[in-house]
Parts: sequence; C-alpha cells; structure tokens
Amino acid sequence: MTVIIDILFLTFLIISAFLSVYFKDLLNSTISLSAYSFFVAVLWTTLNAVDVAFTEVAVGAGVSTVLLLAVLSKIDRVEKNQITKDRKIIALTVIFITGYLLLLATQDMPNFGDPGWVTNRYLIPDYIERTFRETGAPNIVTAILGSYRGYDTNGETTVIFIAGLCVYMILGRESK
Amino acid sequence: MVDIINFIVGKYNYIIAIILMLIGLYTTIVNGNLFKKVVGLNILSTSIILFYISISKVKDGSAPIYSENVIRYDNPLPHVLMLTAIVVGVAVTAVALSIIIKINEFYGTVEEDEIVNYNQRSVKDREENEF
Repeated sequence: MTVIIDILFLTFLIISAFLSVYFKDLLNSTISLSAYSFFVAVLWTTLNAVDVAFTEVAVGAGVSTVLLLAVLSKIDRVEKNQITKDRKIIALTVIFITGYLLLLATQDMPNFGDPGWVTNRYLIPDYIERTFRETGAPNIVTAILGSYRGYDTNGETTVIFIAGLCVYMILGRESK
Repeated sequence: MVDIINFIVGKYNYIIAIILMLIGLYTTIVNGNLFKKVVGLNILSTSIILFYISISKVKDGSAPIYSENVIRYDNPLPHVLMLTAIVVGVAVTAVALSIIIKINEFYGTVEEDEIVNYNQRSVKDREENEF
C-alpha cells in the first residue's frame, strides 16, 4: 500500500513540476510550484521524514510562495516566448549528458530501502543507540540538529542572517 | 528485460529524482525569463533533497523517534542535513528575487534578451554622442 501511495505521489510530483515549467502565465506557474512543494511534503511523510516534511510545508509551500507572489505583483505576469533554437540545442546536449551520467551512477546505488548499505552502517547505529542516553531527546533528528551538529545549525542561522541583510541592502538602495 | 524491470522497480525514487533535476536544469538554462529561472532553481534543489531522503529510508524502518516495538529506525542524518538545505534554499530564493525586483526597476523587464538589447543600444548611443 505504501508503495502505491509512493508511486502515485511521485507521478503527481513530475506532473506538477512539468506544469510549473510549462505555463506561460507566471501566476499559474507559481501556484503549480506551491502544489509541487505540498506533494513533496506528503511524500516525505510517507518516507518517514516528518521533520523535513513540516519544514517543507512551512518554508517551501508557505514562505517561498509568498515571496514569489510578492515579486509577481511588481513584474509582468506573462512570459514572452523567446526561446531561441541554438540555446535549446545547448540545453538538450547538457541535459542528455548529465542524465546519462546520473543513470550510469544509479546502477551503483543500492535498491530502495536496503538496510545493509554503507550509509546506514558505522555512524548511524551509534547515533541511534547513544542519542537518548546522552541528550535525553526522544526525537533523534532534533537531538542531532541541536546537539551533535550544533555548530552546523549555528552556521545555518548565520546564512539566514546574511541573506536577510543582503535583501535589505539590495532593496533599501535608492534607485536613480 | 527482467534486469531492466528490476532496475526500474528497485530504483524508482532515484530515477524520479533525476527526471526532476533535469526539468529544473533545463528551465534554468533555456528559459529567458528570470522569474522562471528561480522556479527552475527551486525544483532543482527539491529534487536533490528527494534523492537524499530516498537514501535514508530503510525497509521496515520507522520514523527516527524513540518508541517501543520498533524493528529498526530510518537513517536520521540525511534528514538533519536536508533541514539545513531547505532553509538555505529559501534564503537563496529571497536574494535572487530581490535582485530581480531591482533589475525590473532599472530595465523595466525581466526578459534576458531585452536586457541585452537595452545594454547594446545604450553603448551605441554613448558612442554616437562622443563623436
């Protein structure tokens, strides 16, 4: 049953991603992107990544859409069709080469949900075994985020601060 | 034939992540509209997050929160890394959009080709004024 839901939502995902690229009206495109973020969040709930799912709903489907809509109120809503042929050829070449290399690399990946693969051994059982004893938090993701990788989270906060500063400095300047 | 079917069934998530990444990359390269490029960038970053989350799923695994009667937990480390990636992705979107607003104020358009034309025209005007 989980596999059917998984495949269904992955297919929805591709459809909504394609639509958000395909629409010429940028408002339709933004709304499709919001739906795409929502499908991604549902997919992550089925993949048991609950923390990532609610961050995606709040930040990806919420804040990003609001930002995109705010910009959309200032620019032209309809995109002009200006895709030139030579640029299309370059893009398709890049995409075929990248896609081929990625598909080749996929052969070396484990099957979906393989517990014996290298990413799920060594450090990970250690984390799962130690976390509750050392930090007392029942949620392992929160414990790693706040405790073991605390410096990383601190750096992330710095990135957000710098981004906010950048937006303020770019938009706060007087235009001549 | 059986090999190919096994490949597709076993690695369905990875293949979808690749397709989504290519959709995002194509938009970012080919589309002349700067707003559409940001949309493509969002799809690109989400596809990579999908790839990492797919790696972290383990068969019969439960969510990485302590509880009883659990066979094994999913891998919590990619979840942590991807939480950071989502938030940084939104920061990138915000900065890109603020630059788009400034470009729109200056040129009156967000289409790449029109901006290039505008610049070439202004260079020609300056040369004519000098002589």
